[in-house]
Amino acid sequence: MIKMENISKVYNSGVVETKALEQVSFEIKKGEFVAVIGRSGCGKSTLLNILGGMDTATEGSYLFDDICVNQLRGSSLAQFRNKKIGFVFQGFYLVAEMSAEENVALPLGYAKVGKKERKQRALELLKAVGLEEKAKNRPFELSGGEQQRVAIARAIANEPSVLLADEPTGNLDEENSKMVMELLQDLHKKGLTIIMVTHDMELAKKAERIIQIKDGKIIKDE
Amino acid sequence: MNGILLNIKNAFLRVFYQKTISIVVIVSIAIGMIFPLSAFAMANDIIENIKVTKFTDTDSTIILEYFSSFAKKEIMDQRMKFLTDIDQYGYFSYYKGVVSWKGQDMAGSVAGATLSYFELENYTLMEGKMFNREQEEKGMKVCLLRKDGVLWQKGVRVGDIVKINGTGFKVIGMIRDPKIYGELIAPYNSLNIFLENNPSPIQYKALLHTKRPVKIDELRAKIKANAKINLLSVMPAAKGQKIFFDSAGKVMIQNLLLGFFVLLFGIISFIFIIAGKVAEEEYSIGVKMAIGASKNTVFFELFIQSVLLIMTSIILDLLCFPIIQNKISQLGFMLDWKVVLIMIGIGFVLAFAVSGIIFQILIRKKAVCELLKGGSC
Repeated sequence: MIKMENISKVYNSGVVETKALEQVSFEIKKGEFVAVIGRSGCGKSTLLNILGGMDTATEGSYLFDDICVNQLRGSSLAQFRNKKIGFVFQGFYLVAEMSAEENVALPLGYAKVGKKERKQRALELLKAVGLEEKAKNRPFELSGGEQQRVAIARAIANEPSVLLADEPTGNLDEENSKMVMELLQDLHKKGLTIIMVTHDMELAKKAERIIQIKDGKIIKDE
Repeated sequence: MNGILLNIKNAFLRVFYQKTISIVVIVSIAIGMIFPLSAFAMANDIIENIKVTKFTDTDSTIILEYFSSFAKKEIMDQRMKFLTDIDQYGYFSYYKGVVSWKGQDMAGSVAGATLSYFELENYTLMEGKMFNREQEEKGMKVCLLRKDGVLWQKGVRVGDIVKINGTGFKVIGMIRDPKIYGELIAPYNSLNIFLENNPSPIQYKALLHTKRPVKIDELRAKIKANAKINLLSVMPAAKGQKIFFDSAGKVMIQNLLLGFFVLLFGIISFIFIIAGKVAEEEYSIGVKMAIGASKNTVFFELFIQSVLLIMTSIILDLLCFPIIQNKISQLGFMLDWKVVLIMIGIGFVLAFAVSGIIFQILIRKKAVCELLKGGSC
């Protein structure tokens, strides 16, 4: 499903050149739950950004279901993010001026799904994450855990092939962390491929595969 | 279509969410746009005026108020000289004097009018006849009564002799509603007696028939050169035509220049405010792009936001225009649909330019993850 070969990413500030990833290669099969671990600044978020089409690799090849992602540009890259990938971020990243329902319906709108269907699907998803009653609430009216559940509902709205989660429990208390992890595990059980970046080994252990990164290189893949 | 509606809705949500910033932007742009709006309105008035006077005759009513009490014939001549500069049609003078009849005296008002004046003003001859050209040219002592005047009420009739400041005038007709003040109306030249003997103020009114715009500023300058004339007022033309102001062109250019600089200031503030807003919420744009919005979609949403803000500014300007125009100019120019359309057109161009600049500077060259994190990935 995902095949990365010799992926490197170099950031050039004009003065300093920083190698965030160096010759990274791996494959991920459909339905896998992979945790990417490593210390802060080791390159795991960069890897996730490249996987999600939010950043481009300096060199190497990235194939996603035979799509050569590093050759996608503009609207085709936007479409790739919209249809193939679901994102869950540590900071939730909900659109502040929109209600929970509107946030969940947003990717459906970008996928040109009709208004009625968008609303119906958004409500179904909110129900699935236990927030049906908070559909009209805006992000500031929700707790951290609730915001992250809305973010998960939004991430799976277009039934993506892969869910990318960047420290999904990083801003949550223990109870909410547990709830979010259970949601992710449920989704995985339903066949969704999940790639989760975390520095928490305990969380990583819930995945079936762990890729460890250090200084931009994969040092362990088990 | 669905997608476009969603983008429009998103843009609206953003504008309403950022209420304070939106209000600051709207007011800033509204202030900036009021000057060019005024200049366009004024330019439109002038163009309309030129159009009118080019193809049709125009009448303007000019009132020379209060020739001073020591007015003599020389002033009359000066007035005549001044009036012949335009195609004069008819005029009248208005005096206060002593009117006597059948042994009774009263302080009354008397008007002198040319025949041509009556040709322009509607009147109805109720009885007797109108004075003729010979009577007018020779200054014969004949007069008309007003049916609603005191003299008529007191029993003065056609054929009676009435004395004005001691000089007898024969009543030859009775008229109704001539739009002339005074108990009685005599031929214009017949009332020179007032210029020679009457110490009271005299008001002149000239009804002008012109085949070109009336250049009020020129008239003012001429009147100003005559120290004995206190005031000139110009009324709107009798048939709804317009009056040309030489100074309007200068004021228009001043307004355009002022408008340009204020608008420039407004746009720069607008860009800074919106740019600040965009920078502040870069992550929000990043989120939208992460979940599938293309850069074109983001640009479109920014454009709609700008249109919304600028159009609200224009509406605010239009609502405030009647108040503001008096502060800017006393010329009395009006807004019409052409000016409003021009402003709306400019508004759209501005919105496109502003959103284009913001997009180019803040969004276009950044990766989604940079937008999300408000810095480098």
